[in-house]
Amino acid sequence: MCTRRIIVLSALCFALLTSCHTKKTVDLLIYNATIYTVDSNFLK
Amino acid sequence: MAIEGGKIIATGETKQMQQAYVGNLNIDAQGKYIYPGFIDAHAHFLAYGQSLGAVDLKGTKSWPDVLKKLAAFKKNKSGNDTTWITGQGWDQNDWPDKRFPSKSGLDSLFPNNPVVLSRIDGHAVIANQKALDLAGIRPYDSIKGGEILVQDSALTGVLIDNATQLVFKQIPMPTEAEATEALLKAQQNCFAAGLTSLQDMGEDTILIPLLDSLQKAGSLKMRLYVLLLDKKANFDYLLKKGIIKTDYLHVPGFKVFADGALGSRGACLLQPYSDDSTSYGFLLSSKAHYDSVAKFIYKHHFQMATHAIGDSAVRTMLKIYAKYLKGPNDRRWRIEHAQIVNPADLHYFKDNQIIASMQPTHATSDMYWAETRLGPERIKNAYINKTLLEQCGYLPLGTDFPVEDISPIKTFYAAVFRRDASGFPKDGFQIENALTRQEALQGMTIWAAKAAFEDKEKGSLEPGKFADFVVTDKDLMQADVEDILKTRILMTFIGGQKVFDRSGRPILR
Ligand SMILES: [Zn+2]
Repeated sequence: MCTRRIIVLSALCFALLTSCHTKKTVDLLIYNATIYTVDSNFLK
Repeated sequence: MAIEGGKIIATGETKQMQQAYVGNLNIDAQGKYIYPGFIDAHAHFLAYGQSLGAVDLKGTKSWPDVLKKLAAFKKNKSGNDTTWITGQGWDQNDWPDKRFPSKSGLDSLFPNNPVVLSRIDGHAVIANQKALDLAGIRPYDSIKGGEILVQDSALTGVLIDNATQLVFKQIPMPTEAEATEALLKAQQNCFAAGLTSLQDMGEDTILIPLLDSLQKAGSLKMRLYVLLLDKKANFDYLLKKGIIKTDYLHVPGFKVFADGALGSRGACLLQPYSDDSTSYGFLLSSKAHYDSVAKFIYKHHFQMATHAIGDSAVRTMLKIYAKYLKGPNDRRWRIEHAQIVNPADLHYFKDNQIIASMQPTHATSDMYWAETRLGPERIKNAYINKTLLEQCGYLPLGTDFPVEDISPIKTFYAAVFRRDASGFPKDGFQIENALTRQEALQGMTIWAAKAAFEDKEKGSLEPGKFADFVVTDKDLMQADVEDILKTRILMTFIGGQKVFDRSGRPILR
C-alpha cells in the first residue's frame, strides 16, 4: 500500500509589500485559509 | 486557491496567490479550513428526499411510542384521505421489548389508509392490514429471499427483505414533480452538510433522464454517481446507452443485493445467529443469478457493487468476483458494507483489487446490539475498517443515508474515534479498527472518488480538478476530540459556485 500524505498549505496572511506584478484575473480567489488539498502528487 | 471556469487553476500561499491572481470575486476565508467537497460513497438520494416527507420514526422509544407519533400525524390529515402513509426509522433493537412489533395498533389507527413503516435499515417493514390486502399477502405465503412473519396463524405485518417489495410495489410511483421536490430538498440538506458528490447506490433507469434534465437546467447541482439496480430493464438500458458521463452525472454500472441486514436477521451468515440458533439469514437470490450478473457486467466493462453484510454473503460475492476478475485489474468492483468478513476471506480483497465500501456510523449505531447477533468471537470480524484498508489500500466512506444521518462530520468522528454522536463509548468501539484522521478525510474525498473512477476530476484540490470544496470553522486534522462534532460547515462550493452559506453573515462569529 502506498502511503499518501495530506499536504497542508498553511496560508498565513502577511502585510504585503509587493511591487506591481501583472496579475491574472480569475473567477474566484479564496485566500487566508488552511487548505487540506488531500493531494497525493506531492508525496514523499 | 484560484478558480477559473469551475476548476482549480492554482493553490498556494496567500501572499504568492495574491501576487499572481486577482479574482472577479475575492473571498477572505478568515483563517478557516478548506477541504475537498465531501463525497458520500454510499447513499440513497431519492429515498432520503422522500423520507423527508415521511413520518420520522428515528429515535422512537417503543412500539407504543411509534403509534403515538402516527396518531399525531393522523390529526393533520383530512378524514376522507385514504392515501398511503409511509414512515421510516424504527428500530426494535433500541426498545425495551426487542421483538418485532405487530400491526394490531396500526389497523385500529388506520383502517382506511395503507401504512408501511420501514425499519431503520430499510430491510424490514411493518405494514397494516390495508397495505397487506393491496399487496395480496396472506398468512403462510412465502417468497424467495424474504420472510412474511406470522404469529398464531395471523400476519404480524412484519415483512423482511424481498417480501417488503410486495408492499412497496403497490405505492404509486412519485410523479415527476414529487420526485423533483424530494431531490431538491435532499440536495439542500446535503450542501449544508458539506457534500458535493453522492454515490447513489441503486436507482431505476426511470430516474436518470429526470436527474440529467434537472442538472442541465441548473437546479440540481449535486454531482451524482448512480448505480442501477439489478433488473433486466436496467441492464438493457445501460447496454444500449453505454456508460453515462457528464460533469454532473456518472452511471457506470450496477448495484446488486446479496443479502439483507443484521438488525432484521437478514444478513447471510456462515454460522447461525448467536441469538437464534435456527437462523443463518439468507441470500436474496441464487448464486447462479449473482454469477450471471457478474459475467454480464464483466463482459461489458461496467462496474459492479454488491451489498453484502453477513460473512456468508461476503464470501459468496468475493468468490464470484474473483472468478471473473482473476487477480490484479482495474475494474474497481466493490463490496458495499462488507460488515462481517471471515478472516479466511480477507485476501480476496487484496488479490483481486476489490474495494470495500464502508459506513463508519453503521459500526457505532449497531454496536449496542451487534454482539447479541454475532457473539463475542464473531463480532471481532465485524466493522473492520482498518483491516480492510490494509487489504485494499484505500477505503471509500459513506453513510447509507437515510439509514444513517447524512453528516460527513459524523462519519469522520465515527471512523476516527469509533464513538457515536453521544460520545459513547469513551474508548471507542473495537478501537483497533479506527482510521487515522488523514485516512478518514481521504475516505470521504479522494478514496471515494477513486472508488467511482472519478479521482481524475475530483476528491482533491489540485489544478485541473473541479472547484468543489467546503469551508469549516474547525480544523478536523487538529481539533480536540470533543470539538469535532461541533464543526460547522460555513460554505460549500461546487464548480467554484457557492451552493451553501451558513449564515449569509460574515463567516466569523
Ligand atoms: Zn444502502
